[in-house]
Amino acid sequence: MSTITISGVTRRYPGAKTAAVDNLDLDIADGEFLVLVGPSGCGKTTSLRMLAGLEGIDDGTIHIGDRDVTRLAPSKRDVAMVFQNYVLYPHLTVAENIGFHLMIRKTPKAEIQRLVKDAAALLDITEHLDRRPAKLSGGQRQRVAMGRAIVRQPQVFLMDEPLSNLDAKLRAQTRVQISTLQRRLGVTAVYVTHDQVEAMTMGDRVAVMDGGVLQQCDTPRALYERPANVFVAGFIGSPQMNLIGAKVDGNGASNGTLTVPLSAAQRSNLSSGEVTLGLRPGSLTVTDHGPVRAEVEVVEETGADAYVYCTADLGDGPTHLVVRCPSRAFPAKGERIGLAVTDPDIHVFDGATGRRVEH
Amino acid sequence: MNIAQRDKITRRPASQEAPLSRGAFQVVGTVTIWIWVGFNALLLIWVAVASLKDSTAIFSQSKAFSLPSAPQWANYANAWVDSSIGRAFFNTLGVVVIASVVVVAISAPAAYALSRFSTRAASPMTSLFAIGMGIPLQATVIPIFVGFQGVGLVNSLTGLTLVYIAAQTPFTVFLLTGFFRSLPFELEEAAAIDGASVLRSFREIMLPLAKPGLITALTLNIVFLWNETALVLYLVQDDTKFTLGRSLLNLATVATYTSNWGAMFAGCVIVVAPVLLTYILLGRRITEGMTLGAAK
Repeated sequence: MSTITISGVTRRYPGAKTAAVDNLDLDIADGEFLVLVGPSGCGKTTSLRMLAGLEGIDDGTIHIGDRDVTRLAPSKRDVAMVFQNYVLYPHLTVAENIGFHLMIRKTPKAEIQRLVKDAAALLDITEHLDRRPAKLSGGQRQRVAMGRAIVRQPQVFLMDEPLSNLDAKLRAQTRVQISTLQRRLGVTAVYVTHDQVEAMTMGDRVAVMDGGVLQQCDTPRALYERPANVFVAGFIGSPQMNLIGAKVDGNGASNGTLTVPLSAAQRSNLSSGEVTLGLRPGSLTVTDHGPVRAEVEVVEETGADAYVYCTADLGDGPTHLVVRCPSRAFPAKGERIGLAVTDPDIHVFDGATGRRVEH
Repeated sequence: MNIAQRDKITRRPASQEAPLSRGAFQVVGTVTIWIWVGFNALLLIWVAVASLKDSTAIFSQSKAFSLPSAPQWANYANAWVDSSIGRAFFNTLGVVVIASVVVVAISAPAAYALSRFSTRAASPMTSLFAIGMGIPLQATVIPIFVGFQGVGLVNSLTGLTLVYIAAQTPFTVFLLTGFFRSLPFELEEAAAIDGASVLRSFREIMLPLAKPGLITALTLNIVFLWNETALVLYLVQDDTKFTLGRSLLNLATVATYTSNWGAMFAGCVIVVAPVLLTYILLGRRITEGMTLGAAK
């Protein structure tokens, strides 16, 4: 159990024009569950591998607790890792896989057996202990990989998309199990995923990365309610937030028939005459007299709600919008509808920098 | 995998089938291969049968291709005891087993290092081993002989073993490098995170996984060295130290004077049988090992 301090960490691959991870700063509290999320190639896995010691660091330092581990070999860092493909040792049994670290540590045999049994019981894989990984299902392999990590009681858990090879139902179950387990063990955990739902449901805090740069690191709620820039706004939330370009004029920010008022503070913080407006699907309502006219293209029913995908003609060409409707009262495909902005909490981002402009 | 099986796996829809020529080529190829296999098998069987005949029967026009009327087991006793094939057998066994095991023991860590460490020297070193494979053994005989004379290793089985080890290392390293490359890199990362040193992860994770490759390397070395004759011819003069290949040559020379051809064929069978047995037992694993290494 330990804090993790990542300061100014940079990784450049030879021959690449931009850094894979650029000047990353992160402070992770003791016992915290931090999720690194972003699209593929955003540097999240590279960051995790640098933390594990599997990847070199060109600049910056990493501390685990008080220890500077920047130049330390992976074997000396006391971190446990769950790989995306589990990477179990194919020639060893499940018990030997889980106990491999303990064996290297020269833990007495009886003690290894006890610890492996405990871990297996916790993960419900006791009956598979004598089997080889090849004989196990994906979910069971995933749990063996978890067992290999928890049996060590390490300073830090590192997890690299551990659920991406599971089917949807199992993924949802395992998500809960991992969160529960981590909280029970109280071990600091860093978890990498490209799935924002996973990130939002599991993390105490979520660090959003893009293009090797940390965009925002905050609680799931804060990310959703106050995204720091256009990228985070578009990445967090499903379906995606509607992002609409608008010009600043006397009334506020407008694009065709859509006008959103701007506060004095917002006006003074803008660096240009253009903004990007962010509206969650729930901020729009279908009404006959709504100022924005749109045509329904697809309706996605989720049971509780329906998401209406439509094309609005705001003035400068068609804009695609998503609107959340109650499950029983949604328009039909092809219908012409009116839309109104009913939620006063509209996100405004600077048109030039993409940064959030506060009220 | 035989040709018929392979054909089944790679069969494409009729529309994509190559024109007639491919089918014809395959038929010709299959027939040629079977003729070749049959010819070789026939030769082997003929030698085995001849080893149980007396010399007159071997050269008699009417009996040359018939079974022996009374098996001459004495031929084997002759070859084994009188012509020292027996002693040569154990000489060979010792030299070949020691050399093959040492070659693999040296080559495996070398190949592992070459396949894994991306140091600047790794690539030229791999090429160096490839060049080593290209040097014909015969071309090195005179320098080795002269060098060995200076250190008293001529006419010694220890010397021969050393030459065999040196001669077989490039090929074995090359074979195993390909094999280690095909093993997933992530396993070593997992082992490193588990606290294993490089040596430990090589010994306990990679080596067990490389077993098919190691068996292939070992078998190919054993078979090659078992049949090796040229080097022994130059480096060993004392007939108590002859290996099988050299001893058989002796037997052939003797047979031209004594006309004891049955004993010579018995010697042939004694030389060939262990190799044949090895292939029968391990043939599948050898081909698997070779294709696995080559696949990636």
